[in-house]
Amino acid sequence: MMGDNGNIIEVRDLKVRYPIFGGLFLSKVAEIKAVDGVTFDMERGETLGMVGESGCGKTTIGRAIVNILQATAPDVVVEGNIFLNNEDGQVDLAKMKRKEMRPYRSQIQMIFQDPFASLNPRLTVARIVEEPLLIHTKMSRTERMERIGWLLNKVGLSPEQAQRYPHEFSGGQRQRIGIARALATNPKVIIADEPVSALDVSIQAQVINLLQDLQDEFGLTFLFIAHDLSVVEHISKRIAVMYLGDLVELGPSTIVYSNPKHPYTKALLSAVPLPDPKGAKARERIILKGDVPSPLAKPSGCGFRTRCPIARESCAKEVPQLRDYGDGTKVACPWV
Amino acid sequence: MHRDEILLEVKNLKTYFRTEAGLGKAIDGVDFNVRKGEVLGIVGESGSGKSVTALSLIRLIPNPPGEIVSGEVLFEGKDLLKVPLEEMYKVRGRDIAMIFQEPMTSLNPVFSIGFQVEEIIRHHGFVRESEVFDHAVKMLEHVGIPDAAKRMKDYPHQFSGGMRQRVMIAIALACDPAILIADEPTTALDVTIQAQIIDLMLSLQERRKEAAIMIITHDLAVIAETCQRVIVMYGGMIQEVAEAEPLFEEPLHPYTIGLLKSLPRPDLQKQHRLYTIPGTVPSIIEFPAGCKFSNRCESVMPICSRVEPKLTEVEDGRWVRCHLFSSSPEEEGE
Repeated sequence: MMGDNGNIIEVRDLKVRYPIFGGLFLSKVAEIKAVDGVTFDMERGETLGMVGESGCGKTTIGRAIVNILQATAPDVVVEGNIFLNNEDGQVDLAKMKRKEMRPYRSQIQMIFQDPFASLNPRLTVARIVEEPLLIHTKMSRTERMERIGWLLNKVGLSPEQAQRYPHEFSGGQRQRIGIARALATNPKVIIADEPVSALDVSIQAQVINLLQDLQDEFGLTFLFIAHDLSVVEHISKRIAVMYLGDLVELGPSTIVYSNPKHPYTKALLSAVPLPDPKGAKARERIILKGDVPSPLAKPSGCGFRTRCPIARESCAKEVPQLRDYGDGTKVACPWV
Repeated sequence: MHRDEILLEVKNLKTYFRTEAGLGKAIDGVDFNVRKGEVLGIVGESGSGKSVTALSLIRLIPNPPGEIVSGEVLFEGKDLLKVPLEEMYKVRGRDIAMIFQEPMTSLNPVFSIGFQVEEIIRHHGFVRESEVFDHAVKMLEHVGIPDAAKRMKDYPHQFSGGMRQRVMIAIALACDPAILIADEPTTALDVTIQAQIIDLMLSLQERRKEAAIMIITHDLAVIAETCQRVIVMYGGMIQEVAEAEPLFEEPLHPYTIGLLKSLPRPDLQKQHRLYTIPGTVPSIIEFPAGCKFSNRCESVMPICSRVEPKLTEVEDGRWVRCHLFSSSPEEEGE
């Protein structure tokens, strides 16, 4: 069964809820629905871009796939399935305990947004990149050192820099160290959460190129989470648009960008500033009213209806389902 | 250009930081004008000196370690760098207002929103005491805070990031300043909120036609969308000055060219690999001698590492600091 449908990850009706405790007896007073029933696949070797604004659940999805939500929120409730298709068949990562997850961690690795916070300042670069090898492999010390040198070389650093500490590196170089660490165990899937957002423009391009080169060389599958739509479009084959815990549009990036269907996707894309003063004047911008509602007070029915320019009365009652539009995209709005 | 079109004139501004590692020349001789009614962009990467320039104009450089070592900032016939601090207190907020990047940290968490908006109106005696509350509410309504009168009593933590940035804008616009300086005003915000915030800032010019807006950002796209004139900074110096359209259509300085080429441009042709500027931005104490960009420049010539090029006017209103455009680079080198 493996590999025949070409999907490496299959996410089915994923729901992630954070209970909020308060009051005298610290009872559950409310619940944040960070992800509210999301279904999508990641094809082998593709880059799936995930976009949306803060609070839309894109980071939570990434962290649910690598199963690290519990590390920061022990009370988190995860429902649904996250299937990983590997050589031994299909496994569901969604509800795995720490120990059960361990053999699969080496296959799914993560690159974090903040290259200043995601590297331990007390460890040398060699030690940082070595850590996953110590945990997941039985390599000897010589083998590990050889591998570290090779990895640093791959990400454009010199093996001589291995004995230095993170503070001796610039932001772009630190992100390269993070990438080397993610690659250490030969993963198949990499979840990249805002990997270039903290970098300067001229450095951003270097890291994006590096990620693409590594993907070509190792056949990696990326979930590329970012709020910068131009970067996501550049790197992604398909795009998933999130709003307030819901997946509102999913499809090939060329189609989603040239012909967005969901009113939120339309507004989002029209709001993206372009480095082209003439085009900017010609473009019609849809400026949405207000802010994204708090996930604590998510509107009934369609989550977007409070800001939607085409909302109708019935939008408050029914939660729109993702449906095939016919051109390879899926849209969660009945009116388009 | 007529002299009376100029609102603010900056001459040979130098701000240095004394650190243990050495002297950091954060900005090293910056000259520019702000014209009436314009939207001026200052763009650059981290360490380019763009924020230090803005902070120097209103003398908010922390001293020590920073110090404005030379220069003039001429505004309404006065040199703002020489006036007594008491006078600066009157200028800040009334004549020159500033919006900072971090909406989370630039409001005081222990005072109500209303108090913080009223404070500036009262400080400058902008309206009579009996009208201060109403004016504050009007400002919050102007920036789109729903139920403004009620929310005056709320505290910053009860507002979202976008809402806080709106409050910052309400405070900045409260006294209809002549110049609004916005330092990375949209960087911390989501895309759909960004557009709203930019529109609000530009609304100052509806309230006061001759007001100028300075937008300081690393985001070239935000510059392209909002600014008429652009200053490109690198290594604490102005590298290029141009109107927005020609700058984006035909950048002249190799740094500007590199920056624009390294942006993903999905609206144009889809390319597999992005152009990259080699190397990284050095720390401010490590910039090379001669041209600050010479160690990363693809068009570098022998002279570049020896002689700092001068900012030269190559066309009307278009300035470039590069030996490729110096009239006689060889002579200058001798």
